[in-house]
Amino acid sequence: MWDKKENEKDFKPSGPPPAAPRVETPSYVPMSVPPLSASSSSAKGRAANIGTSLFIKGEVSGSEDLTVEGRVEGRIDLKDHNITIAASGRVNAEIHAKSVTVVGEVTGNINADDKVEIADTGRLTGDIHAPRVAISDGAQFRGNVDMVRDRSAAQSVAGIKERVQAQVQTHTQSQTQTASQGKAAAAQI
Amino acid sequence: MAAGLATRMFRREGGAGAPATDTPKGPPPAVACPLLRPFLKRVERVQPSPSLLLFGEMCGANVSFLGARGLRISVEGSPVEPQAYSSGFSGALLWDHLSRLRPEAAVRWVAGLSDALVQGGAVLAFFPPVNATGDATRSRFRISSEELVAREPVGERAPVPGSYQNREIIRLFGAFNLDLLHTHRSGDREVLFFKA
Repeated sequence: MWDKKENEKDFKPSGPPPAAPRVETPSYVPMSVPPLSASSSSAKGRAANIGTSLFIKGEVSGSEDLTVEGRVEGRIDLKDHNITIAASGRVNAEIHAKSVTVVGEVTGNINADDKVEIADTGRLTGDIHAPRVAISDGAQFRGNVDMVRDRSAAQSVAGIKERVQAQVQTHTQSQTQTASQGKAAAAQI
Repeated sequence: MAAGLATRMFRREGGAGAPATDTPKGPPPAVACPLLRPFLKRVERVQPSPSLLLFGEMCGANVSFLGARGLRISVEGSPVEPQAYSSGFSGALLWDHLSRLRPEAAVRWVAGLSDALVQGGAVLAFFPPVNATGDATRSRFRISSEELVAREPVGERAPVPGSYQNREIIRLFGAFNLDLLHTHRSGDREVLFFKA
């Protein structure tokens, strides 16, 4: 054990000791978004990109994540995948995806299975239907938001709640009546 | 002794000598909003699937908060005439939107709002103090809970078109019944109306 510490000491640089512990910064800058070409998709990351110079009119569907930096008109359907409309992206379409992030501009309804996020630079004109919605301050939004996944199910749950409450009320009333009757009987005795 | 106490008090208040970093910079604290809970209760019992019109400065947190309660939210940030909206809403959350309109425009606006709401639909609105004149900033109202709302100033100062006495507010909402009116210590007023 002592030998081990001695060994560690040997590995330390011979310069003056630092005044305070510091976090070493890496010599490289990690990229948060991998560079993607407009036409190709990364098979490993399963993400595609519609570049700034592209304009697609029609239906876009696929089974990988998508970033839109260009223009899309029509319909976008990425059932189990995420879509990001980048700052330069202009989308005039109905969107159906797992998760939708709006940093640029979208005109059209969004239907997401997980969540919709509008960044502070994002602009959305259309309705949102998603269980989770996050709209940053400064974002521009005009439309309707429906966060109930299954409205009929929610209504049935509300109905059950009401019925249970009513049953509890009647039960409490009957108990109160029984107690008062019992008291009256006891007073007679 | 007294001088020392005065110095401590001065420092606590952040006087001229105090560094700028001493002043806490953060979101304004949430204050009581006593009529929000009764408003939501009214809205939620008007219709089986209640829908709510949201006006005023956009606040995403409010959309999430209200949407998570099962309300269908319709956001109308820009001051469009309410006649343009589809009808059948259970309530409208106006915040300080009306105090930003000229009185004659406000009358037309409220009449249109009445058409947009269903029978029994509720309206919650804020009005500045009676003697509020001059310029003021717009506010973003951020709901913290059913009883607390933080009010954040937004944008540049703009002239306040007019101030309303309580009786003028009631007259403005002629097609509605007054349910509750609460005056804050600051003089701000919250009013809760429902469609007769």
